[in-house]
Amino acid sequence: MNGAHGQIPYTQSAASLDVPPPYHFPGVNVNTFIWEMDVSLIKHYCDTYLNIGTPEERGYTYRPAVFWPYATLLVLQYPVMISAAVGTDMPHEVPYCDRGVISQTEVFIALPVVRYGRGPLGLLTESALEWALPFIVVGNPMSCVCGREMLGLGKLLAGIECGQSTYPRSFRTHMTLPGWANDKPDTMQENLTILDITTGPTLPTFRKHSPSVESLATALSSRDMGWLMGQMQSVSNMIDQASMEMIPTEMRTIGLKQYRDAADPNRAVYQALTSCRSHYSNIRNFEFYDEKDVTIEFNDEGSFHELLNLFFRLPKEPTGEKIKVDAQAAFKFEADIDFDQMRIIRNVPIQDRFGHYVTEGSEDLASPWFRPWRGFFAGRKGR
Amino acid sequence: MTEFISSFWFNQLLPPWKSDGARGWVFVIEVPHEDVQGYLDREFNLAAPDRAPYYYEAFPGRTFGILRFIDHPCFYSGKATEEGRNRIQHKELTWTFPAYRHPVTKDNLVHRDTAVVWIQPFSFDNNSYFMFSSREVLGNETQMAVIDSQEAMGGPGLRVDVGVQGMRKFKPSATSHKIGAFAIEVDNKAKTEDGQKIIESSPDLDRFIGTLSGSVNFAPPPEAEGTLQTGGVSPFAVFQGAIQDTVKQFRDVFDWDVAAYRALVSSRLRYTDVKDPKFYDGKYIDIRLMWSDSLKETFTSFFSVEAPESPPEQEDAVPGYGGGWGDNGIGYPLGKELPKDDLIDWQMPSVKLDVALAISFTANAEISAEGTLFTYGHDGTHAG
Repeated sequence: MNGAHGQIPYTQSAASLDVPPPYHFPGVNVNTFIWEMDVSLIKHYCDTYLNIGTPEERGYTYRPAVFWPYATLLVLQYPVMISAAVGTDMPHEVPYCDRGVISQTEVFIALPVVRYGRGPLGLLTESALEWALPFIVVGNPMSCVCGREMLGLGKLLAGIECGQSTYPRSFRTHMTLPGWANDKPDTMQENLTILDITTGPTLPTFRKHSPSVESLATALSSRDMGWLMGQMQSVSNMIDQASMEMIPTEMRTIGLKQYRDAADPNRAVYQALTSCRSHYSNIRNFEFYDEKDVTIEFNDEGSFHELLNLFFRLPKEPTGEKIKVDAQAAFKFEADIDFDQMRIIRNVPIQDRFGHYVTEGSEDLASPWFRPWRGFFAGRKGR
Repeated sequence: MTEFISSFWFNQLLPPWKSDGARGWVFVIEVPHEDVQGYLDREFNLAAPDRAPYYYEAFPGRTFGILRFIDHPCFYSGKATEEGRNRIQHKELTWTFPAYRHPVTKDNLVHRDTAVVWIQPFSFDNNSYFMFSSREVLGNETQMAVIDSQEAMGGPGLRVDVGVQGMRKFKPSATSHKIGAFAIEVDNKAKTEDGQKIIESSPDLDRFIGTLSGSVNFAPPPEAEGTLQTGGVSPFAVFQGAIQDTVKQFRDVFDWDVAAYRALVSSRLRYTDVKDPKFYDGKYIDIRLMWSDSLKETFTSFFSVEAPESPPEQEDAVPGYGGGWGDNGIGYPLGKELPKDDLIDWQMPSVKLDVALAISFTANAEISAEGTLFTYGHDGTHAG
């Protein structure tokens, strides 16, 4: 992998927290909230974390998906998380798939981004729609470590409480993260509230807050539209089954995986764009909330200001106030989720402190549709 | 130079780390020589695929390590920042042992310019922010834990309870939850004025304590050369603080068995302003390893303990049950009073770990990253 002597083995220690992929998560309860986002903020994210180096060096450019200028916040409650890794290199060990399961809650904000390949051929064969996850937190430390160290996802360990809000069939979540209430030098880290979400009951409901002409959800709350939504679920499953999952319901994530040098922590010793696929199947129990009944509040306090700056246009200093988000749509559903197809999109060439290259770069930019055909035309590019 | 791209989620606490008024307890435990050497061979002396220009060797004779519990009430980065976001509190329980690091030439000859280094195979920490920093900057195998500790106040001298996410018994229907890992109790009777006698009862223990005390400045300064038995290694080197070497490795995203990055990293731990050191007789110290499928490999690999008699099969406890000390030897082992965090499942057997002696102290600590000794896969070059 790196260097002329062959691959570098990872020595599995007894204390390792890693759980091998692929992963299978049945019966996931997903609450989804969508709001309109300033596209220039998404562009800033792309330029900072994805468009590393010059266009000539990297061979692609990430840009916002202007046809979908929305942020999607998902709260996922996984009752069962299974490592589907059957084999093991340690014959005396119980295979991971037989060890048991983990349950956890995860919250993330997904931003759609489009990778455009360079030149007419690159545009055709190396462009792809992917999802950046600038905010992702989980309640399980093992999931955190795997996500950060293997996939490069910036998973943080949070306190996440989920439950029913005031009304039956409603939802609420309360989330805390370690943070600092202000930037004074002596301030001690503590667990601070960063996010609160509450909804009204799912539709149909007697609580009609929105004139039907203004609300997508209330428009869909009629009996006819409810029936239509039920049919859409069936259609979604039918697509998966009839196409033998060649046209799956899926989300490909893109993230920056990087590690610091120990003595010079401003230097990266490894940097790569990595991708994986989360495949949603067997979608069921799809229900809308009245988005006017939804309250989403981020806490613009202390150290959280830096994070919230990615999603909102804020003053330079933390306001100490709640940022209230107007949801454009809110809904819930259950699904089975598979997590697989981890791969490197680009290995960034690494320079030491003297500017000498110590590892080479490489790319694997083929679009998902082009991937099965690529072998006919070209191998993996190295530089 | 390739710059690390800073972000909210990868804003680690950067070394040097400083700790003011750290309260430490060090438990000296004898471990089999072959277990220590086996770990060094698997992790440090491995051709991966190229060999590092070092050979790590366990101390000869009887081998000791330390289980170290440190409470850091004020821990921060010494890297000057204009902003705050720097001070944290955390508690850690770590397993470390000393070893010789021999430089090796290209002709595979071992130099005599040997250093004593400390190896830390695992640690538990109750602060996720520090856990990420420890893992991702220095490469430590740090695991998130619930750590509850109480000291003195008329009861036992010290009680520490450690719980981690895991499974009591591996089976497809088991669900990960917080399970007991370590339960530690130091009885008030353990405090002794005869620490020196215990140390002098064994030359190997004497040498080990010399290395340890040199690392934390318990002992006289370097000009007192000759007063310490340090295995033939210059006491001056030892007095500069404890060097800790780590295998820093991260998995490839695609291939589970391949490392995307692997290196030997060296850091240095210095204790200053050491106050109130006290010795404790090991026979009044009860350290229990809570026996679960999630942790038994760690226990057998590093402490060479044998599994307790097979307990009757039990259903997984619902998280929230503390579990009392039952007649069948299953449950919280240290008295009937349950630890504060009753969300930990203690319904499992435990194994007692023999302790040679313990030392408690209060000190300021500094942990600095010394550098990357060797990066694997770079054609044998050092990547500084």
